[in-house]
Amino acid sequence: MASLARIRVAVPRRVSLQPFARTIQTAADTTQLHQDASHSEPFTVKLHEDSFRGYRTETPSLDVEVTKENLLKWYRSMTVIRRTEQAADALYKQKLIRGFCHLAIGQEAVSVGLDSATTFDDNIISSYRTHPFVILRGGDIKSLIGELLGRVCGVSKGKGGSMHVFTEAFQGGHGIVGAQVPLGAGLAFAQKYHGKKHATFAMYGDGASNQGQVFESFNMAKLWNLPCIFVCENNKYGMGTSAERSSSNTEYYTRGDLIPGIQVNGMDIIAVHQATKFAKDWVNSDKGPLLVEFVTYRYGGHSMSDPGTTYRTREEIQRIRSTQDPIRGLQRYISEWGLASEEDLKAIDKEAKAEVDAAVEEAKASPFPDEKELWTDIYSAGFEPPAMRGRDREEVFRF
Amino acid sequence: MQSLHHVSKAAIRASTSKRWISTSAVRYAVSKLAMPAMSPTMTEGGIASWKKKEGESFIAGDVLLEIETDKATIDVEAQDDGVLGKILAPDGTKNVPVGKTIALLAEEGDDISNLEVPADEPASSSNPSQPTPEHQAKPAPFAPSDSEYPTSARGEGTHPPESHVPHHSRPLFPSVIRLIQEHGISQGDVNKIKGTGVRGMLTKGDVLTHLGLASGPSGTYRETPPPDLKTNAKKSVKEAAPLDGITVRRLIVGNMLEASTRARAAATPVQSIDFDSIIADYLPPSKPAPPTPTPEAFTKPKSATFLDGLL
Repeated sequence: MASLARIRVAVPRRVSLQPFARTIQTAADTTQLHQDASHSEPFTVKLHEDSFRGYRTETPSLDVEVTKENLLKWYRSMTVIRRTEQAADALYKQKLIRGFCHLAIGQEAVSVGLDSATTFDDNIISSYRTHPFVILRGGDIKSLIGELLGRVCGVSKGKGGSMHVFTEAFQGGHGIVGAQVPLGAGLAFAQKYHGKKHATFAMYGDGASNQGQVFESFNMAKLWNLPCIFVCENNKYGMGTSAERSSSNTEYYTRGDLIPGIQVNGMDIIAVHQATKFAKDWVNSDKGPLLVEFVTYRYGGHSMSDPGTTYRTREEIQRIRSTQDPIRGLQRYISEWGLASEEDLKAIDKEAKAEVDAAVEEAKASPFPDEKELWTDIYSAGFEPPAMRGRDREEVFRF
Repeated sequence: MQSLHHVSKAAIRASTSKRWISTSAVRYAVSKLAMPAMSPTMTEGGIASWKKKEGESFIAGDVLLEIETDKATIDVEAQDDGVLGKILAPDGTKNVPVGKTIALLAEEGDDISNLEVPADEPASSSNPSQPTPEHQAKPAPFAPSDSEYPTSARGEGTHPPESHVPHHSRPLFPSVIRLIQEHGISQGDVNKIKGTGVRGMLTKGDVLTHLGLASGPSGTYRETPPPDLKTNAKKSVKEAAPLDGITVRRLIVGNMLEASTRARAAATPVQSIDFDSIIADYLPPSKPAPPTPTPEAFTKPKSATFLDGLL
């Protein structure tokens, strides 16, 4: 596998089918300021012209209105998320977290940007690289780390683990690859049925994009004009298989056939924010479903048991980390536009680290669930069978 | 390193202590690098080689060191930017348990010349080991439970009080369990009942015998086969006829014939029993059956009764 990576590095990455076609750029710090950034009022910035590509639709406008408050809030969120994922990495290596653990280090801009343009009335459903969403959508660091550690303070009472996290505003957290896409279409159907002017974001990755049920969902969403936004988080590797080796068509935003799509630079949080707003407006004006592809990158392996360097080179990871890191990009925006000084941002860093450390300690102090919790949350109250078998034949629980 | 410490301490201490007092805003952040478990089953490993030297700075994603596990040599990457402060486990250290501090990391710009080795905390992996034995002890009672039927201690607690679940060193038949529960046989009595089943299992007959409802563990079952219907029919016919000369001669000839056929049967090995011979026992005696080579057991009682009548 490592030898293949070395061969592939020599071959230039094929990004587009036609020569001289515009390709998306994925740097995180190419947004330009229009005029002086105001500290109190919204100001306009201009995204790089290659931040979007469209399929059967016009791309979103490159002029985005942002506020200093929002930018600093996003910076704090992304830093907290990065620290939390790193803490989860360290806890896994100390064998306090067991089982599966899929970290989203490098993909913070997608989750924070998505959350920034949505409300808690919108549905977001995703796969299993979803730790950031727990923190953003109503949970907190303690409940996320507690769930990974298997403690009672976790979002699923410690009984679910990394791939089973849900909050009131986040619909999970699903283990089967691509299974959440039909669920997302169903959630959109429910919203349309109830006449709600909200959106559903059904997220999946480039590895799941070739699953059959994804296309079935596309068909139903387009047929019944559902307010469903299909979000493909293209981090270029499906486990250990690069997108070029897995998909005949790597332009995932064109895979919707009649469903229009946009490809977005997933490393620039302002582009993600703009694309999400565009998508929400799209479905709220009854234009039907939309496909949004965020081109992003993950620094870690697929999960904690994958070192991440057998199918790509460490140089590639380090290059993207140093040139296209979303947090560093936002940091550059904030300091270049004079919104905050380096020391202020460092202070936010340290605050975030302290917050995460404190939450991790609190979560570690929480107890494991009691053994009687093995039998709760299986059936609705009143619908339990008379008895249920446990882990082996001798263990029988009578409700 | 030690000598450098001594030389520089005097010179630097004044300035560094001033620094520490004045720059209280900058956190003096030294973090411990613990031995990571590169796989979920790893308990200890060796340090193969350090890729960074003390004082060298690194960025997130750089390889700090290589760890040797029993399976492979794996790179350990840094999570954050920083400076390698002090290496506590040099190259070649073997059998480092997971969780032990192997280095101290500092942030850029922090003074690292006075790094003190903190008292080594017990490995954090020992913390969950306390709750886990508790949880392992709880399922243990389920495992060595002798009964293979769903008679767990928990189940017993939620049962209605009148039916107690019996235990036995061998598996219990459902019929046996039902009998025990219906008649309320206590556990002590259950242990006293002798099991005559396979490998000492309790049978229904054992329990019934204990209750006095049966004469023995096998009841009215007899090892001997049932009396042959054919022989009974012949017996009644022959006893009815008077014993005159003709009858006696007939008897003698019949006896001799039977003896010879018996001898012939003994000489030849008994072939597979055919269907007719088996069901003939159950059919009514419509025609006089020819003397077929019958098994030894059936002829024995016949000859005994004939002789009784003759002598």
